[in-house]
Amino acid sequence: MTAADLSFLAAAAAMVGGAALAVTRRSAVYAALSVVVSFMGVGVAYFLLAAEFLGIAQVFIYAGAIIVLFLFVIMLLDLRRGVPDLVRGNDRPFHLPALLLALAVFLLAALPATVCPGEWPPLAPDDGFGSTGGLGRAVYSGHTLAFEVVGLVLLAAVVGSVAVAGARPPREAPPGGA
Amino acid sequence: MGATLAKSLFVLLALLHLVPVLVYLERKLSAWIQDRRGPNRVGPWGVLQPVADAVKLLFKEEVIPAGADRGLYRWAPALAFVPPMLAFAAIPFGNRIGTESLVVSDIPVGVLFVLTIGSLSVYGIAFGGWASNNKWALLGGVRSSAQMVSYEVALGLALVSVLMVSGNVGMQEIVRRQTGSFSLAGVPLPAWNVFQQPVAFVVFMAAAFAENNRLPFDLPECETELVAGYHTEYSSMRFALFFMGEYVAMITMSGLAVTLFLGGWHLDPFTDPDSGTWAQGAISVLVFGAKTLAVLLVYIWVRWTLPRFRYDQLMGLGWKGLVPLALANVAATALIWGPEAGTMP
Amino acid sequence: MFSLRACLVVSAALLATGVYGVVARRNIIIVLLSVEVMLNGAALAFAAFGRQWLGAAGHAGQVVVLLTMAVAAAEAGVGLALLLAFERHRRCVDSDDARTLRG
Repeated sequence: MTAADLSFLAAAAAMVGGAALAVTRRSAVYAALSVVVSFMGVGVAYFLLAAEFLGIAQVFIYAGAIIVLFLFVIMLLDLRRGVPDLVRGNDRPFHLPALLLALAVFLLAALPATVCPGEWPPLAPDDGFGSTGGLGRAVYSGHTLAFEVVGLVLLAAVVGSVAVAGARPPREAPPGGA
Repeated sequence: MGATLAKSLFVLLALLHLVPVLVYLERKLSAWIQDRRGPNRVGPWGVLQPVADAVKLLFKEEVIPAGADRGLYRWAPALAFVPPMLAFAAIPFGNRIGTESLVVSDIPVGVLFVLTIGSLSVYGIAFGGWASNNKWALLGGVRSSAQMVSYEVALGLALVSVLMVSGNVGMQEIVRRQTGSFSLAGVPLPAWNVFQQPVAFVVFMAAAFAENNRLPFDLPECETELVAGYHTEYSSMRFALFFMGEYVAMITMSGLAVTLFLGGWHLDPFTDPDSGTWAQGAISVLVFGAKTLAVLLVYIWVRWTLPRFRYDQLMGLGWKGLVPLALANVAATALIWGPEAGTMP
Repeated sequence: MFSLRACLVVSAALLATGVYGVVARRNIIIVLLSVEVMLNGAALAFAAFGRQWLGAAGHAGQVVVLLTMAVAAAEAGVGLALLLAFERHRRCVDSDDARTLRG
């Protein structure tokens, strides 16, 4: 057991445990909190995988922005309805068919793990693998097109979100209408 | 190991002791600005007032409102207090003593670390507001989450141009790059980033005020509308933790501003005698402390001078003012520094 | 212990947990969170393969992770915007209520 092994075990426990809690919580706020724990674990795993920039970006983007956005929406909906619980009776946290499907997905996705190597290749010191500079060079030299397409996707998402969520509320539906 | 422990302890104690000093300064300065006397009963010139405040808070009864989510309610203050404290670990508070760099941990992604960890304090505020089972507190939580996410964009974009000039994301390296001078229209100026990137500095400071929920952007606790915002229901030490967290976040943000824009621990950027002696190390720490305190005084000065924004004005300023300005600044920086830098390092 | 194999198992577990959440839950907010969990599972596998291959191929894996994060942010933004619009219409966030095409 090396230090990396122990750290990875802790990170894996946070990742899987947090995700499992997230999908079984009744309260959306607790689900969001569990997801944060899970994503912190993923961030730690990135650090262990010699991807320091990804590790910090993971925490920055997911914990610092995306989940905060979720919390914002959850709390906004709470305010609008005046009740702190959005869960309806038919939302059962445990659901056997879904559990079986998830098990099948897990087995299928973990299949490659049976044939892959059990050791990491040694990391060359100071070649900048995974550092901010190294990753930046990789993005802007070999993957410029993908980077710009993602920029376009983000722009479209911003415009779309504003158009959808910022639209004026429709007039109250007449009684009996859908 | 021992050195790291000593540095951590130093930072921890310095931060914790700076908070009461700041509280005192805030009350005294606000009094002077408003032509009052301020605290003057406890100790000479009222300097022991923060101690009296702390004792009062410690002995107050703690009330947990009915219907509150007890687990989150208890933990939220800690979530607001710990991250800004942790973020300071990557801020260099001095040059070096011997070979020991005066920063708790000089990680290669230092700037991003400070921003990332500092931004996590929004969870304390949001959960505190949500768990209180109180409409005003919830409104405060909603406001803070939207405000923090919005102004992080401007903050990050302001930093992009600074990083382009520095060519590095390590904190000590950014400070070292601010040695020497550069000439603007024949006038030699220190190579501090505030002179090289004035627009970025303005955007950064405006966004920093918003990130710290300070006036003119303190909408999450806007007392004229929301009683006390997200900490309406809090009392005793849990309230004190929120309160201290806010001040520690201010100190961390000021330290970041000093490091990124004001030359860090440099006293005189033109001549930089760097021999690593104890005396020079101590001077660099003092210089850093003095600069940080100066930025903190600006925080206080602004708070008691400007009125509060309305929430839509706050969002308008962030998205329609600061973000485009910072983007334009990034483009201009690329045009000016890009050809000079030539190929990528 | 800590190896590509272990990373792939954890990544598969994240993916499967996300699938479970998407299929089993009806609260749209939690469904969206589950989608984020699935994306993270995939991203972890990319980063792990990157660590295995190193060099330019390894960096390609990390670039995919980075772009995944950007796409996840876009997805969250659009998803939550749709959710807000849906809630305004139907007064609930239950995916079972979203089965009619009539406004």
